[in-house]
Amino acid sequence: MQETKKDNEKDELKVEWLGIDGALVLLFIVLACVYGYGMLHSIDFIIGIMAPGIAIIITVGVFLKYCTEVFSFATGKKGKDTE
Amino acid sequence: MQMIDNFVVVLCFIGIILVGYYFSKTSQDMDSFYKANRALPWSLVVGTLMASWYGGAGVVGTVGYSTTMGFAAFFLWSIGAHAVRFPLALWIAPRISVKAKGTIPDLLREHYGKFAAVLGAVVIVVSCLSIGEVAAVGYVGEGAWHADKFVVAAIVVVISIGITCLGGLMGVAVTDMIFFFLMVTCVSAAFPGLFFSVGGLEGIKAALAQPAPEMITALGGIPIPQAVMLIVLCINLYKDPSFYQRFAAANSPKTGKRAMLLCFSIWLSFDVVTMMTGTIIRVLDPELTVQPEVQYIALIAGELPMIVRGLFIVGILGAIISTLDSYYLIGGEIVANDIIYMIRGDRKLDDKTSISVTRVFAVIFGIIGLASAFQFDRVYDAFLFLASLSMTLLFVPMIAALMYDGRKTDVGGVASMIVGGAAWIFFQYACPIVISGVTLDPVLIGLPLSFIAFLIGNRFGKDLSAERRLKGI
Repeated sequence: MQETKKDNEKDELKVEWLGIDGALVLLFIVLACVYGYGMLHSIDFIIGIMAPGIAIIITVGVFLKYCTEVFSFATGKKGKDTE
Repeated sequence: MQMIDNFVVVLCFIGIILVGYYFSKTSQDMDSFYKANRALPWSLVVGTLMASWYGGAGVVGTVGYSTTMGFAAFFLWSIGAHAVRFPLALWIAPRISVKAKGTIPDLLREHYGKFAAVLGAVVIVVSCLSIGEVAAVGYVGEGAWHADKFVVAAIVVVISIGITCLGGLMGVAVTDMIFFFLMVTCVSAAFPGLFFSVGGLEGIKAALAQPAPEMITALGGIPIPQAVMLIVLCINLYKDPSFYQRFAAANSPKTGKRAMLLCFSIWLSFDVVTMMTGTIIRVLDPELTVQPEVQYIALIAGELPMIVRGLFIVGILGAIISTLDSYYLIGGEIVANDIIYMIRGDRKLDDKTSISVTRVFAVIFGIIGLASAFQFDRVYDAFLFLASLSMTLLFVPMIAALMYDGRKTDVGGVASMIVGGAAWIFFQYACPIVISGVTLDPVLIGLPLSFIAFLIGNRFGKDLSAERRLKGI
């Protein structure tokens, strides 16, 4: 029992470099390089459109994800209540 | 600001208070009030981390220092600062989620005993006053309404206290999500118009070539050793109690980690927007005749259509509110569950009393913050003193408690705190070290000394591992 708990804990603490964790780290590195390049080489599209655009897209995505979670929680609860 | 914008602002804040009121019904016990039942989903952790990080200093302050640092603000503060925080997300956040049962003083107590916990509690409670955030409200009030800064700050502090007292962490997290959404979308939406109105990057470079050519270089004329020092100092986030609280409240160790990893990319993109806006303000006013922070609010408000302008002000004020309510909640929790607990001879308060004490202290923190924020100089210096000191005091014992499973003693913990703190004071005031014309930040001397004291101290005193095992920690 104790060992299973420890194994689960170890699994939770592991960094998945070839999974989502690695992808998120890579996203930061790629964005840092692209924005830095755009700034130093005067590429207006990267700084004026892409940077604010990416900030908005991710923010809206996270916000919608939260809204869907709240909605599914609320409808799930409603369904349970009526059962 | 037109009447309709003001109407939008009032309507949004009424809505926010109602959200807090809704969660007041569900947050009746300690675990739900302080830790949101450890059930924060990934999306909510992203929102609350973002909103808490970008307070008044995060948005308005970033614009302010970008008016003198230019592109270097991005290369040093944004890329560098976030890069040194990756270990926090990858390795420390999941461990906080697994190991943290209470607050930071609670963690210190379990590993190093009562004295270390008291020291930690005092430093964190003082830093929770967030005096700088209250002061930042003044810029928004002045830029948006030409209003008295104290009146606007008082309103913002009352709303922050209201959210803290009503909804606990879940109320704070949900309102954070709304503020985060409004802040990022409104500020980012206004940026392209502003950016192209000055001729894009070529226009900016041409305008700054004469008055401040260093602003259009990657390091801004800062010597490399100083640049490295600035980046290393960004590890201050590792001992931030609001991040600790969010990771502990996440619904799984992976949730906190991945939320923060995504935050880095949002922060980076949003930093480009705020830092470039600061640079544009310098282009428009090369002599900086108007306070840049005030001009920023007026400039962005001028770019946006009505109603959206009101939402932008809600987002900016919300960024400050979400930082204030987070710290008021943490400060109140530490007073109720750590300081009063220890004063009562290790007897816990019952859930209802603990929550009531937290609410009372949230009000007290608000009053102290409001009363001292505009007195400035000495009060603000004292606040900065304790905030800087807290880094050398808390960093080594906290990280060791989370990351190192071997022998840890009370002497080791207390020694690392005292040596770190004393070294910071000594090298800050008595004997500053200057290398090649650059003054070495005392934090960089205090941290290694604190670590050495931890290693030596660990050879003496009582190892509390057995007690922790008994408690199942």
